[in-house]
Amino acid sequence: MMDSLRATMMIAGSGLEAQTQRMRIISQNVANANVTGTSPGDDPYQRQTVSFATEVDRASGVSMVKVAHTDFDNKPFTVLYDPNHVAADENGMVKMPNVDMLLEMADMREAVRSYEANLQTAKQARELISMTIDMIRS
Amino acid sequence: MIMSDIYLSSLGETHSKWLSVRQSVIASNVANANTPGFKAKDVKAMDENSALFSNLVTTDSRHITSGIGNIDGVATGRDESWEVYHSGGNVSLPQEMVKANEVSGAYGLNTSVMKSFHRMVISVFGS
Repeated sequence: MMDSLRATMMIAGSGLEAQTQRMRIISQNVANANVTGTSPGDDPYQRQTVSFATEVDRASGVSMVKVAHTDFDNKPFTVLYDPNHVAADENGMVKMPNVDMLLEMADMREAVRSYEANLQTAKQARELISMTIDMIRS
Repeated sequence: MIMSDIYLSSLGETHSKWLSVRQSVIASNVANANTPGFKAKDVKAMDENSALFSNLVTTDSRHITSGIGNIDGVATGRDESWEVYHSGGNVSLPQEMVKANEVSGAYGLNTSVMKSFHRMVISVFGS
Protein backbone atom coordinates (compact mmCIF):
# COMPACT_ATOMS: atom_id res chain seq x y z
CA MET A 1 0.00 0.00 0.00
CA MET A 2 1.18 3.42 -0.91
CA ASP A 3 1.18 6.53 1.17
CA SER A 4 -1.95 8.53 0.30
CA LEU A 5 -0.15 11.84 0.03
CA ARG A 6 2.34 10.38 -2.42
CA ALA A 7 -0.60 8.88 -4.35
CA THR A 8 -2.19 12.33 -4.36
CA MET A 9 0.89 13.68 -6.11
CA MET A 10 0.64 10.91 -8.70
CA ILE A 11 -3.04 11.60 -9.34
CA ALA A 12 -2.40 15.33 -9.73
CA GLY A 13 0.47 14.51 -12.08
CA SER A 14 -1.76 12.33 -14.24
CA GLY A 15 -4.28 15.17 -14.37
CA LEU A 16 -1.60 17.66 -15.43
CA GLU A 17 -0.41 15.27 -18.12
CA ALA A 18 -3.93 14.72 -19.47
CA GLN A 19 -4.65 18.45 -19.62
CA THR A 20 -1.30 19.07 -21.32
CA GLN A 21 -2.18 16.60 -24.06
CA ARG A 22 -5.53 18.28 -24.42
CA MET A 23 -3.79 21.65 -24.83
CA ARG A 24 -1.53 20.13 -27.46
CA ILE A 25 -4.52 18.97 -29.53
CA ILE A 26 -6.21 22.34 -29.11
CA SER A 27 -3.16 24.24 -30.30
CA GLN A 28 -2.87 21.82 -33.20
CA ASN A 29 -6.47 22.59 -34.18
CA VAL A 30 -5.94 26.35 -33.87
CA ALA A 31 -2.68 26.29 -35.83
CA ASN A 32 -4.30 24.32 -38.65
CA ALA A 33 -7.55 26.27 -38.69
CA ASN A 34 -6.94 27.50 -42.24
CA VAL A 35 -5.10 24.56 -43.77
CA THR A 36 -6.80 23.46 -46.98
CA GLY A 37 -5.98 20.66 -49.40
CA THR A 38 -3.39 21.08 -52.15
CA SER A 39 -5.22 19.61 -55.16
CA PRO A 40 -8.78 20.23 -56.41
CA GLY A 41 -11.48 18.69 -54.22
CA ASP A 42 -9.00 17.70 -51.47
CA ASP A 43 -10.17 17.44 -47.89
CA PRO A 44 -8.73 20.08 -45.58
CA TYR A 45 -7.41 19.59 -42.01
CA GLN A 46 -9.91 17.69 -39.88
CA ARG A 47 -10.44 18.84 -36.32
CA GLN A 48 -9.26 16.43 -33.60
CA THR A 49 -10.80 15.80 -30.21
CA VAL A 50 -9.51 14.14 -27.03
CA SER A 51 -11.42 11.81 -24.72
CA PHE A 52 -10.48 11.27 -21.09
CA ALA A 53 -11.00 8.09 -19.14
CA THR A 54 -10.50 6.97 -15.57
CA GLU A 55 -7.58 4.64 -15.00
CA VAL A 56 -7.20 2.70 -11.77
CA ASP A 57 -3.59 2.52 -10.64
CA ARG A 58 -3.05 -1.06 -9.50
CA ALA A 59 -0.24 -0.29 -7.08
CA SER A 60 -2.23 2.17 -5.00
CA GLY A 61 -5.84 1.55 -6.05
CA VAL A 62 -6.57 5.20 -6.78
CA SER A 63 -8.40 6.51 -9.83
CA MET A 64 -6.08 8.46 -12.08
CA VAL A 65 -6.91 10.01 -15.44
CA LYS A 66 -5.54 9.36 -18.90
CA VAL A 67 -6.27 10.39 -22.47
CA ALA A 68 -8.25 7.40 -23.74
CA HIS A 69 -8.07 8.27 -27.43
CA THR A 70 -7.96 11.15 -29.87
CA ASP A 71 -10.61 11.15 -32.57
CA PHE A 72 -11.44 13.10 -35.67
CA ASP A 73 -14.39 15.45 -35.50
CA ASN A 74 -16.94 14.37 -38.15
CA LYS A 75 -18.61 17.74 -38.34
CA PRO A 76 -18.99 18.68 -42.05
CA PHE A 77 -16.39 21.04 -43.52
CA THR A 78 -17.41 24.60 -44.25
CA VAL A 79 -17.35 25.40 -47.97
CA LEU A 80 -16.13 28.70 -49.42
CA TYR A 81 -16.49 30.03 -52.96
CA ASP A 82 -12.95 30.79 -54.20
CA PRO A 83 -12.46 29.67 -57.83
CA ASN A 84 -8.79 30.76 -57.93
CA HIS A 85 -7.81 28.61 -54.97
CA VAL A 86 -5.56 25.60 -55.63
CA ALA A 87 -7.97 23.26 -53.86
CA ALA A 88 -11.11 24.58 -55.58
CA ASP A 89 -13.29 21.93 -57.25
CA GLU A 90 -15.00 22.31 -60.65
CA ASN A 91 -17.69 24.55 -59.11
CA GLY A 92 -15.08 26.84 -57.53
CA MET A 93 -15.83 25.66 -53.99
CA VAL A 94 -13.02 25.17 -51.44
CA LYS A 95 -13.45 22.98 -48.36
CA MET A 96 -12.22 24.72 -45.20
CA PRO A 97 -11.34 22.94 -41.92
CA ASN A 98 -14.18 22.28 -39.46
CA VAL A 99 -12.35 24.15 -36.68
CA ASP A 100 -14.48 26.57 -34.70
CA MET A 101 -12.21 29.13 -33.04
CA LEU A 102 -14.76 30.02 -30.37
CA LEU A 103 -15.09 26.36 -29.42
CA GLU A 104 -11.31 25.93 -29.25
CA MET A 105 -10.94 29.00 -27.05
CA ALA A 106 -13.67 27.77 -24.68
CA ASP A 107 -12.02 24.34 -24.59
CA MET A 108 -8.66 25.95 -23.87
CA ARG A 109 -10.06 27.95 -20.96
CA GLU A 110 -11.47 24.76 -19.47
CA ALA A 111 -8.14 22.98 -19.92
CA VAL A 112 -6.29 25.83 -18.18
CA ARG A 113 -8.78 25.86 -15.33
CA SER A 114 -8.47 22.11 -14.82
CA TYR A 115 -4.68 22.35 -15.02
CA GLU A 116 -4.66 25.00 -12.29
CA ALA A 117 -6.95 22.89 -10.13
CA ASN A 118 -4.63 19.89 -10.44
CA LEU A 119 -1.66 22.06 -9.64
CA GLN A 120 -3.47 23.35 -6.57
CA THR A 121 -4.10 19.84 -5.23
CA ALA A 122 -0.43 18.96 -5.77
CA LYS A 123 0.64 22.10 -3.89
CA GLN A 124 -1.73 21.31 -1.06
CA ALA A 125 -0.44 17.73 -0.81
CA ARG A 126 3.09 19.09 -0.58
CA GLU A 127 1.94 21.43 2.16
CA LEU A 128 0.49 18.49 4.11
CA ILE A 129 3.74 16.54 3.73
CA SER A 130 5.79 19.45 5.02
CA MET A 131 3.38 19.90 7.94
CA THR A 132 3.98 16.25 8.83
CA ILE A 133 7.74 16.69 8.63
CA ASP A 134 7.48 19.83 10.77
CA MET A 135 6.12 17.67 13.59
CA ILE A 136 9.53 16.23 14.25
CA ARG A 137 11.22 19.62 14.01
CA SER A 138 10.07 22.25 16.51
CA MET B 1 6.60 2.91 25.83
CA ILE B 2 5.11 3.22 22.38
CA MET B 3 3.47 6.54 21.60
CA SER B 4 0.61 4.94 19.64
CA ASP B 5 -0.56 3.22 22.83
CA ILE B 6 -1.60 6.61 24.12
CA TYR B 7 -5.17 7.37 23.15
CA LEU B 8 -4.57 10.92 21.88
CA SER B 9 -1.61 9.83 19.78
CA SER B 10 -3.48 7.05 18.05
CA LEU B 11 -6.47 9.34 17.55
CA GLY B 12 -4.22 11.93 15.93
CA GLU B 13 -2.68 9.28 13.74
CA THR B 14 -6.07 8.00 12.59
CA HIS B 15 -7.21 11.55 11.91
CA SER B 16 -4.15 12.41 9.84
CA LYS B 17 -4.57 9.16 7.89
CA TRP B 18 -8.22 9.97 7.25
CA LEU B 19 -7.34 13.47 6.10
CA SER B 20 -4.64 12.27 3.70
CA VAL B 21 -7.02 9.68 2.24
CA ARG B 22 -9.59 12.42 1.80
CA GLN B 23 -6.98 14.58 0.07
CA SER B 24 -6.20 11.78 -2.38
CA VAL B 25 -9.91 11.26 -3.09
CA ILE B 26 -10.22 15.01 -3.76
CA ALA B 27 -7.17 14.88 -6.06
CA SER B 28 -8.74 12.00 -7.97
CA ASN B 29 -11.98 14.00 -8.35
CA VAL B 30 -10.07 17.01 -9.67
CA ALA B 31 -8.01 14.92 -12.09
CA ASN B 32 -11.17 13.30 -13.44
CA ALA B 33 -13.18 16.52 -13.53
CA ASN B 34 -13.37 16.40 -17.34
CA THR B 35 -13.86 12.64 -17.63
CA PRO B 36 -17.33 11.93 -19.03
CA GLY B 37 -19.58 10.20 -16.53
CA PHE B 38 -17.20 10.46 -13.57
CA LYS B 39 -19.05 10.87 -10.29
CA ALA B 40 -17.41 12.81 -7.48
CA LYS B 41 -16.45 10.75 -4.45
CA ASP B 42 -15.85 11.62 -0.85
CA VAL B 43 -14.91 9.71 2.28
CA LYS B 44 -17.40 9.06 5.03
CA ALA B 45 -17.07 11.01 8.26
CA MET B 46 -14.26 9.70 10.44
CA ASP B 47 -15.17 7.18 13.08
CA GLU B 48 -12.34 6.24 15.40
CA ASN B 49 -13.77 2.79 16.01
CA SER B 50 -14.40 1.81 12.43
CA ALA B 51 -11.69 0.04 10.53
CA LEU B 52 -10.74 2.79 8.13
CA PHE B 53 -8.44 0.61 6.12
CA SER B 54 -10.07 -2.69 5.37
CA ASN B 55 -7.51 -5.35 4.77
CA LEU B 56 -8.88 -7.38 1.91
CA VAL B 57 -6.98 -10.55 1.14
CA THR B 58 -5.71 -10.82 -2.40
CA THR B 59 -4.86 -14.16 -3.97
CA ASP B 60 -2.84 -12.72 -6.81
CA SER B 61 -0.36 -9.89 -6.85
CA ARG B 62 -2.09 -8.44 -9.90
CA HIS B 63 -5.38 -8.04 -8.07
CA ILE B 64 -6.24 -4.60 -6.89
CA THR B 65 -4.96 -4.42 -3.36
CA SER B 66 -6.72 -2.94 -0.41
CA GLY B 67 -4.95 0.29 -1.06
CA ILE B 68 -6.32 3.70 -0.42
CA GLY B 69 -8.86 3.37 -3.19
CA ASN B 70 -10.58 0.52 -1.40
CA ILE B 71 -11.04 2.07 1.99
CA ASP B 72 -14.31 1.33 3.62
CA GLY B 73 -15.50 4.87 3.69
CA VAL B 74 -15.38 5.95 0.06
CA ALA B 75 -18.86 6.80 -1.11
CA THR B 76 -20.27 8.75 -3.98
CA GLY B 77 -21.94 11.92 -2.94
CA ARG B 78 -24.55 12.18 -5.67
CA ASP B 79 -26.84 14.55 -3.85
CA GLU B 80 -24.13 16.82 -2.50
CA SER B 81 -22.43 17.90 -5.70
CA TRP B 82 -22.86 21.50 -6.70
CA GLU B 83 -23.23 20.88 -10.41
CA VAL B 84 -23.93 18.17 -12.96
CA TYR B 85 -22.58 18.29 -16.49
CA HIS B 86 -24.22 17.20 -19.69
CA SER B 87 -21.57 14.51 -20.12
CA GLY B 88 -22.73 12.85 -16.90
CA GLY B 89 -19.88 13.96 -14.65
CA ASN B 90 -20.64 15.94 -11.52
CA VAL B 91 -17.26 17.16 -10.24
CA SER B 92 -17.44 20.80 -9.22
CA LEU B 93 -13.93 22.28 -9.12
CA PRO B 94 -14.85 25.09 -6.67
CA GLN B 95 -16.40 22.53 -4.35
CA GLU B 96 -13.29 20.34 -4.52
CA MET B 97 -11.11 23.38 -3.75
CA VAL B 98 -13.25 24.16 -0.71
CA LYS B 99 -12.92 20.56 0.47
CA ALA B 100 -9.16 20.56 -0.09
CA ASN B 101 -8.93 23.74 1.95
CA GLU B 102 -10.90 22.13 4.77
CA VAL B 103 -8.49 19.19 4.72
CA SER B 104 -5.48 21.48 4.78
CA GLY B 105 -6.82 23.46 7.76
CA ALA B 106 -7.78 20.35 9.70
CA TYR B 107 -4.40 18.74 8.98
CA GLY B 108 -2.60 21.83 10.26
CA LEU B 109 -4.70 21.82 13.40
CA ASN B 110 -4.08 18.10 13.89
CA THR B 111 -0.32 18.41 13.56
CA SER B 112 -0.24 21.36 15.99
CA VAL B 113 -2.24 19.41 18.55
CA MET B 114 0.07 16.41 18.14
CA LYS B 115 3.11 18.64 18.47
CA SER B 116 1.96 20.33 21.66
CA PHE B 117 0.84 17.00 23.10
CA HIS B 118 4.26 15.62 22.37
CA ARG B 119 5.82 18.60 24.15
CA MET B 120 3.62 17.82 27.16
CA VAL B 121 4.84 14.22 27.21
CA ILE B 122 8.44 15.39 26.94
CA SER B 123 7.98 17.86 29.79
CA VAL B 124 6.58 15.07 32.02
CA PHE B 125 9.44 12.70 31.40
CA GLY B 126 12.11 15.34 31.19
CA SER B 127 13.99 15.64 27.96
